[in-house]
Amino acid sequence: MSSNVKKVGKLAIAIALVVSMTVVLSVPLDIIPPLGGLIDPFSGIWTVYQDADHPPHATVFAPGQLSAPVTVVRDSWGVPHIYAANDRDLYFTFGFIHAQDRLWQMDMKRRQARGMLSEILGSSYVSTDIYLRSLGMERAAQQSIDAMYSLTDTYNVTLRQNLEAYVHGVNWYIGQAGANLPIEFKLLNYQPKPWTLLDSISIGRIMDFSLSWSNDDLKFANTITQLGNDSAWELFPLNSPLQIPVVPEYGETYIPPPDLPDIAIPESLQITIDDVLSSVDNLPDPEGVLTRWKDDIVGSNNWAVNGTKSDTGKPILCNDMHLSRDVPSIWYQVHLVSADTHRNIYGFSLAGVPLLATGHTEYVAWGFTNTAADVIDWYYYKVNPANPNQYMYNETWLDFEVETTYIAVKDGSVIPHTIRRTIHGPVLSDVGVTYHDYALAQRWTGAEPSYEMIALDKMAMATNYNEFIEGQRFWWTISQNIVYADVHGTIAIRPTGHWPIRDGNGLGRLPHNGSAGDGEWIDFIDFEDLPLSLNPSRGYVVSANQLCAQQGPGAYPYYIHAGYAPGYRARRINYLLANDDNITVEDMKRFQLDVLDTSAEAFVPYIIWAFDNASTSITSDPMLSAAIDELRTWNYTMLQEWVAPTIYRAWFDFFWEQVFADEYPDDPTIRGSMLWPSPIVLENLTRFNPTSPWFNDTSTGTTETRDDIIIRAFSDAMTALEDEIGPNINQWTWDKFHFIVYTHQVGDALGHGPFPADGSGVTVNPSRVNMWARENGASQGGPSERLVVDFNDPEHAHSVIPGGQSGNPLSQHYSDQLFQLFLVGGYHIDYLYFDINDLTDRESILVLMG
Amino acid sequence: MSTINRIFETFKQYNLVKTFLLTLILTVVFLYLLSWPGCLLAATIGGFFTLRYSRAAIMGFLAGLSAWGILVGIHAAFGGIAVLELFGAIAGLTGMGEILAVIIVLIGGLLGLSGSLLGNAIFALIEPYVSKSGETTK
Repeated sequence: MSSNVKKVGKLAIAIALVVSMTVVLSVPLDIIPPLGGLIDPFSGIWTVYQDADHPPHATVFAPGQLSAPVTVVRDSWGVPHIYAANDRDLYFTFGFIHAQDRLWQMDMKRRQARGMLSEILGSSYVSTDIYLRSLGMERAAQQSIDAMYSLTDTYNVTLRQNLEAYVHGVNWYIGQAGANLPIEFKLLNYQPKPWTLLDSISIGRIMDFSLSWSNDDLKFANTITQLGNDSAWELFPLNSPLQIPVVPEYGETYIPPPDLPDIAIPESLQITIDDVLSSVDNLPDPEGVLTRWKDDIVGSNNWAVNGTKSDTGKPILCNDMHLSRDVPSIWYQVHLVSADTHRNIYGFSLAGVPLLATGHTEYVAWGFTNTAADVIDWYYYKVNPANPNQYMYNETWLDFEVETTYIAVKDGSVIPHTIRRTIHGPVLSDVGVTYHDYALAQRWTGAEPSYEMIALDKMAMATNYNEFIEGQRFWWTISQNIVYADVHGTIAIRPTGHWPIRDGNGLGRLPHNGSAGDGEWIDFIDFEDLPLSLNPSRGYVVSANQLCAQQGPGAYPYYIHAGYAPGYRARRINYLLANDDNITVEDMKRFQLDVLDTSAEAFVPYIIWAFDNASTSITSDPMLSAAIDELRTWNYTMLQEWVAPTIYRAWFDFFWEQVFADEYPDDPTIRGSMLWPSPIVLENLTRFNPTSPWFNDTSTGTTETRDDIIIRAFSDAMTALEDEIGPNINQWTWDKFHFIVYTHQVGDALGHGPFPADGSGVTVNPSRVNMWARENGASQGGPSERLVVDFNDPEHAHSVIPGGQSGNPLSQHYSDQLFQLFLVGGYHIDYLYFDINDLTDRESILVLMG
Repeated sequence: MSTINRIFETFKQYNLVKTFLLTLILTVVFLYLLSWPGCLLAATIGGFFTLRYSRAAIMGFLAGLSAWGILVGIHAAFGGIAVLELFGAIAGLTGMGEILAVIIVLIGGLLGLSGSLLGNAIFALIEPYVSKSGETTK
C-alpha cells in the first residue's frame, strides 16, 4: 500500500513538473509570445541568423509561375537588379524579392492602412483600428481597384496582370518560407496572411494619410474662436509672406487674402470638435502613424537644373523626401529590367507596392515633395434629436449610411463596429463617443478612388516629357510637387493631384456647415490648369513644401492650401542654384547636405542690433556679451560642434513663445487644439512691423516692442542654457541639444540612435529641433532617401537611404547604408545597366526558375 | 513472454548510458518533428526504460541538456548568439547572449528531467500489470 502511495506521489511530482514546464513555455503573456516556440532549436528565433544574408548563388524553383528564368543580382549594398524576359516574370520576382527582404514591414503597413493592428498587437489597439477603418482608406483602395479593373483596354489589362503577378510573387515567398519568417513574426507570434492587391493599394493610402490628412480646419476654427477673426487671419494668412513659391510664375509678392469668412461655433458643435481633436491623441499609435505628422518633419526637397546651369550641359535632378526615420527604411531600392518591354528603371519602392514611387531611367527622372494641398474638408451636421440615425443635409433629414466592420483581436475575439457616413464621408465624431448634437464628417481625396498605379507605370515607361505627363495626369492622391528632368534637356515642376474646387468663397480652411450644404466640392482642377514651371528661363525648378503658387485674383486663380512649410529650405535652395552656373553632381550632394539655417540668417541681425542698442545692464553682462559675440561671427550653419546654433535656437524658442503665448489661452488643452504661427509670420513681423501689438506682452502694464522682447528672450534663453549646461559657454555645443533617432516598432534594440546631428528643422538637410528635451526629443523625421541623377551619365546616378535593404536585423544590409554612407554624407551608385553583363558589382545571384 | 514485455526486459538490461543515448537521439528527432513538446515525449520514453526515479531524473536532465546543448551550440557556431543578443536587447537585457544560451540549454535539461520522471513514474505504476500479463502468456 505504502509502495503504491509512493508511486502515485512520484507520478504527481512528475506531472506537476511537466505541467509547469508546459505552462511556462506555451502560455503567451499579453502580446509576448510563448517562450517555447521562440527558443525551439529548429523553428524558433534561430532562423533569423540563417536568413540574414543571401547566399552567393541560389536557385528557387517556382513551377508554373514563370515563363523564363529570372536573374536577380544583388550588388554590394544589397540592392536587387532584377533581369527578366518579360514584365509578368519581372513583377512576380519583384514581389518575391520584396517579401524576402521586407515581409514584416509589408505586413505592418497593410495592417495600418486596413485597421488590422489589434489582431497582432492586442485589444488595446481596437480603438486605433476603428479610427483607421473609419477613415476609409481600405474602402478607397478597393474602389481604386474596381475602377482600374473597369478599364478593359490592352494597356490596363496588361498592367493589372503585372500587378497580379507581383501579388503571386509575394505569396509564393510566404508559401515557401515555412519557419523562416522575420523575427518580428516570431516575437509577435503570428503568421502572415496571403497578400492581396488590396494590401498593395492600401499601403499607398496610409502614406497619403501621413501626408495629406489634416484636422487643421478644426484647429483653425478654435483659433478664430480664441483669438478673434482678424488676429487669426493675420497669423495664418492664405499666402504666407516671404515665400518663393514652387511655381513663381504666378508672382512672388504678397497677395492679401480674399474676403475672409467669419465663424461662430455653437457650444454643442465646439464639444464635437474638441472630442474629434482629442480622439486621435488618445489612440495607441504604432510608428506614430496617426500623430507623427503633427510634430515632426513631413516635407521633402526636390529640384532640377537644366543644361545652362550644370557643368555637363545636361539636366541634373535631385530629390530627398523627408519622412519618418523608420527601421527598416521606408524605401526599398530596386532596379527592374524587362527585355520585351525595354523596361529599365531604378528607384525607390514602398515594400508591398509593385511600382516604384520615384525613379530614373535612361530617359527620364522624377522626384516628389509633398504639396500639403488642402484636399480634406470637414462638415458638421445637425443630428435629428428624434432620430439619431439621421442628419440634416440641405434642410432635409437623411439617414446615415451604415456599415458594420468586424475587428479581429489577438485574443480571438471579434469586435463589431458601426461606421456611419454622410453624403460627404465618414463621421469621425463617432470614434470614441456615442452621441453628439452634431455629427462631424470629412471629405478627403485619400478616401476616394484614384489611379496611382497607372500614373506610376506610365511615368516609368516615358521616354520624353509628353509621354511623362500622360502618366502624371493620373496622379490624383498623395498630392505631390513632381519634379521632372530628361535626357533631352527638359526640366519641369508641377504640383500635382486631385485638388477640389469648392463653391462659396472657394476656401477649405474651416469646417463647413454641411446641413446648409456649404463648402461642396463642385469639381476638381483640370490637370492642364495645375501650376506648372516648364523649362523656365532661370534654368532651375525647386520645391521644398513651400507655397505652391500665390493664390488669388491676379495670381493662381484657385485655392490650393494654407498649411505649407515656412519656406526657409526653399529660400536656401533657390539661393544656391541661382548663384551657381556650373553645378556639378558633387555640388548637388553638398546642397542636399546643407545645414545653413536661413531663419537664423533672417533673425540674428535683429538680435545683434537689439543687443547693441540695449541698456548697459544688458550689454555689460559677461555671459550675454560672450553669447552675442558667438552670433556675430557665425555663418548660420547648424554644426554640432558649434555653440552659436544653440544660442540662436534657444533664443528663438523663447522669442516665439514670448511674442505669441500671452495672447493664447493658458489652458494647455485649448492651446493644443489651436494652430500656432509659422516662423515665417514671425519673421515678417520682426522685419517689417517692429511695433506690432503681437510684440506687446499683455501681462505687463507697459507696452513692449520687438526689441524689448528680443532682448528679454535672449536673456531668458541664456539663463536657461546656463541652468541646463553650466556657465561655461564653450560647453553649449549644438550636439548636446539636437539629436536624430531611427526607430523600430518592436523596440529600441532594433532601432538606431539617438545621434547628435547637424541642422535644424528648416535647413535643407532637416531634423526637427526639440532642444530642451535633449536626447529624449530626438527627431524622428528627416530625409528618407537622397537621389542625384545627372543625365550626362544616367547609368550611374547617386543615391542613399538611411538604413539598408534588409529588414533582418542581423543582415549586413540592415543598416549598412545608414552607418557607412548616410550619416557621413555618402552615396552609392545606382547601376542602371540594361545588359546584365555590364553589372560587375555582384554580391549574390539568385535565379528563379519557372 | 509477450513482445512488449520482451522490450521492457531488454531495456532494463541496458545501462544508463544506453538509455541516455536513446533519449538524446529521440529528443533531437522529436524536436525536429514536433517542436519543443517533442522533448518531453522523448524524455518520457527514456524515463520509461530507466530503473530508478533518481536515475531517470539524472538521465533525462543530461539527455535534454546535451540535445539542446548540441543544437544551440551549432547555432552559436554559425552566429546564433547574435540572435540571442538581439532577443535580449529587445527584452532590455543587453550583452546577455551567452547567458541566454546557457539558460536555454538548461531549459532543455529541465524538459528532459520532467519528461523522464513522468515516464519512469508511469512505468512504475504499470509495471506490475505488464509483468503479470507477461507471466500469463508465458
